Amino acid sequence: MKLDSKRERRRKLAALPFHRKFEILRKLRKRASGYKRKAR
Amino acid sequence: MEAALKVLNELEREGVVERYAIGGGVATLFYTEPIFTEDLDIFVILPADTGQLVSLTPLYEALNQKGYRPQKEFVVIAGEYVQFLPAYSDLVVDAVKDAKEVRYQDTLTRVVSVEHLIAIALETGRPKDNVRIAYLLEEAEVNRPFLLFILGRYGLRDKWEKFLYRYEQ
Repeated sequence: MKLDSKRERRRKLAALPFHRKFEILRKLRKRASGYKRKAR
Repeated sequence: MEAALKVLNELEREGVVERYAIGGGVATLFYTEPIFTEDLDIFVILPADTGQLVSLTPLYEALNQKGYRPQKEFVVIAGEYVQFLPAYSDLVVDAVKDAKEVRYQDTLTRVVSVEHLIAIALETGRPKDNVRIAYLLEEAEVNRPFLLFILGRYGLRDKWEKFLYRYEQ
């Protein structure tokens, strides 16, 4: 992915409504808990 | 998250806290793309903040009555690990008072301004705070004159110059 398109993607994500960002955070947390389980 | 915010609004309506605002990682993601954070940091101005010792006991008792119990430094509210941080400096008090009202679906809440968020991170000064400042400077729309005004008001200008010197290396 080129730098410009990465930046554009980040800009679009930053412009999402608060609750949509939180839905993504929830997915990130779920993924992180999976990593933690694997690490144990 | 919305359920947790409703509980926070209830606490404010009931006078258990005078005013609250979201800080930390969740406030950061409000201004940037979503980033990982485990907890929800809530700065609170407590009713007893006028000269008396600050105690979180009345807040924890009110939460206990609602069925939310502490787990280590957090209180789990509707699945969210909420950390209550009494406004510990003039800067944080100012940040809570100046926090902007935002909507989370149907619920109103408050988020510390990005300029205050940077100033608080600078005041705290841990390595992860410096990373957060650099990230916010790159990703968020920061009102630089307002940031400099806050930094000047709370004696953080020297620290800021040192941060910028390191950051620009």
